[in-house]
Parts: sequence; structure tokens; C-alpha cells
Amino acid sequence: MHAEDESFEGYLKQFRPRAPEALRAMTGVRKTRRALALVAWAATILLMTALVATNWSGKRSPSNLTLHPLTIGAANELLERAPSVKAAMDELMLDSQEKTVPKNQSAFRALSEENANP
Amino acid sequence: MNAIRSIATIMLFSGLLTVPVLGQTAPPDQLGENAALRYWSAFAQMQDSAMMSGKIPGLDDPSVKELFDKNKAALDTMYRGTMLPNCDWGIEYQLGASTPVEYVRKALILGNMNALYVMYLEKHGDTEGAVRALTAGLRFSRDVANGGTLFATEVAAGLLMDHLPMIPNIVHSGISPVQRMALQRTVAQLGEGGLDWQGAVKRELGLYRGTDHGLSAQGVAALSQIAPLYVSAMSDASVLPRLQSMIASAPVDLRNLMPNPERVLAREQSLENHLAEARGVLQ
Repeated sequence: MHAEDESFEGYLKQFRPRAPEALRAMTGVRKTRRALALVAWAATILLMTALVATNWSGKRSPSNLTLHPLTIGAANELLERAPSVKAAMDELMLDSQEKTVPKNQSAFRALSEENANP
Repeated sequence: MNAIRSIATIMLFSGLLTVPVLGQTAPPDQLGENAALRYWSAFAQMQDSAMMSGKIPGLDDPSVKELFDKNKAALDTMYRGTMLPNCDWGIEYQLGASTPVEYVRKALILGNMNALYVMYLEKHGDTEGAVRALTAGLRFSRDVANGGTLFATEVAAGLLMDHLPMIPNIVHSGISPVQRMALQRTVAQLGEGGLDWQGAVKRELGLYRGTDHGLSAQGVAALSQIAPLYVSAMSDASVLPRLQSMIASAPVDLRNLMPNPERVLAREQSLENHLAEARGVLQ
């Protein structure tokens, strides 16, 4: 029994731990893959954000009307700021629509001028 | 005796309980008579009103006809509203400077559209339609100012001054005695000044007392002296220099809020002149 123990002990003493492998250096291919993955994630996040933002603003102003709800304070500010009451009225009308037309060009005013000077 | 007392108490309490109920049930009949509700319906019916803020090609352009075709319902609703004697916009003045007045903007668009429609009808020889649209437009413009501050009154004055100059054109193009009478009656109903400028000034200056305007104690004190003079200036222009000097020496916070009385008076005067001219043409 004792001899068996000794031989087993001898066997164990033969054990030599293997030298650890060197850390794998990041190769060029892996670097590219990681960068691509990051770009893909960023693009996905950007796309999602854009989609959410578009939907949200679409729900808020389906017909581009009423960009700023008019209050007495805002109206008085407009009257104070505008060079004349007429200019304030034109701005007020423009403010309710898409701002794609030049100021001081309301349809009514334009036609009034047209009728006055045929 | 006790029984009589109990009956009297029961009757008193039932009376007290019924008063608020009556108060809630009575208005619906009157609410239906409120022109402002019709006007809001008309605003909701407006289509492609963006065209009104741009330069349109001319009254013969197909897009103009299309605009009026699309907005016929809105204009008709507005005309029906002008037949009602009462117009209450239900302005929540307790909200101070944040009081919503979106109706003024919408009224400006609809009123401008109507003025354009009068021109269109007149140009296409529909005098009957033009007179109808013109009389309704004048009444609508007056209603826009109802119960409002100076801003609503300024817009209403602008709308009136857009409609009134069309009277000479229509009269000269030839109208029937009935049509002339309709125009005369509408212009007469507007009165000498057309709008309640004094009421508008009172409501306007009353707002400045609110905490949201943050007037200093000195500002509030000065306002209580200036306000009556401002109101009386609307019917007596001779007080303008005194009013202006009081505003000039008022605390800066009040001075910054105060609407320019010269501008307001000029606008009031201009409307009076337009009305006088229209009355002259219709005589």
C-alpha cells in the first residue's frame, strides 16, 4: 500500500505546468470588424431617432397649421415689434402657415394693390 | 306653525338647489345663439388658407376659384353666424398674458378671404353675392373685436378697413335699392366709430394689473392714474398730449407695456374716416 502511494507521488511530481500562451494581439481584420459593428450600431440608433422624431412632429402638426398658439402676450409683443399694424397682421397670417412666402405679401394686399392700379 | 316653517325651509332649499340647475340648463339655448361658435365652426371648415398669406396670381386664376370652391362652406357658416345678435368669444382673461386668442388669427385669415371673395364676386358680375358677402364681412369684422383687447380691436379695424373701400366699387357698378338698403343698414349698425375702442383699452390696461406682468407698486399706482385718461383719449383726442407726458414720466416697467396711444388713436380715426366715406357713398 505504502509503495503504491510512493509511486503515485512520484507520478504526480512528474507534472509540469505548461507555459501560458502569449496574449493574442488584435489583428487588422478584427479591428475592421469591430469598427464596422460600431458604425452599424450608430447608424441604427440614428435611423431610429430620426424615425421617432419624424413621426412625433408629424402627429403634432399634421397640416403645418398653428405653429405657435397665439396669446395676448405674444400678440402684444408682435404689435410692439412690427413696424406697423399692417405689418403685424401680415406676420400674424404668415405665422399660421408654412413660412415659405416672403413677408408683407398677403394675397389680399397684393390684389388690393392690383385693383387700385389696373 | 312648525309645519309651515318646515315647508318654507324645504321650499327655500329646493329653490336654492334649483337655481344652479337652472343656471346650467338655461345657457344652452343662448349658447346656440352665440355667433362665436359658428365662427369657430367656420374656422374649422377653412381649407388651403395658406394661400391667403402668399401672392396669388389674380382673380381669374383657376387656383383662386378653387380656393373659394373649397371654402364656400366655411364662408357660408360665417355668414350664418353674422345673423346672430350675440358674439361671445369666451376669453379667459384670468390667464393674463397667456390668455389664448388664436381666434383672432383665424378670424383675420377668414376675414381676408371674405374680402377677397367680395372682389371676386364683383369682378364676375355677381352683385347679389358680393353684397351678401360684403355685409356679412362687415358684421363679422365687428364681431371679431367683441369683448377683446386692443389687439383684437386692431385686427377688427383692419378687416373693416379692408371691406369698407369695396362699397364705392359695388355701388358704382349698379346695385338694386334692396341691396343698397342692406349695405346702408349694416354700415349704420356699425355706428360712428365702428368699434368699442374704450372697452378694448379698459380690458387691455386691466390685464396689466395681473401678477404675470410683474408691475412694480409704482407702476401699478401710475397705471391707475393713466388708465382713465387713456380711456377718455379714445373719445377725446385733445387729452393725447397729457396722456403722452404721463406715460413718458411713468416707471419704466409700465412704460414698456403701454400701447402707443398715438398709434391707437390714428387707427381709430382712420376707421372713422373709412366709415364716413362709406356712409357718404351710400346716401
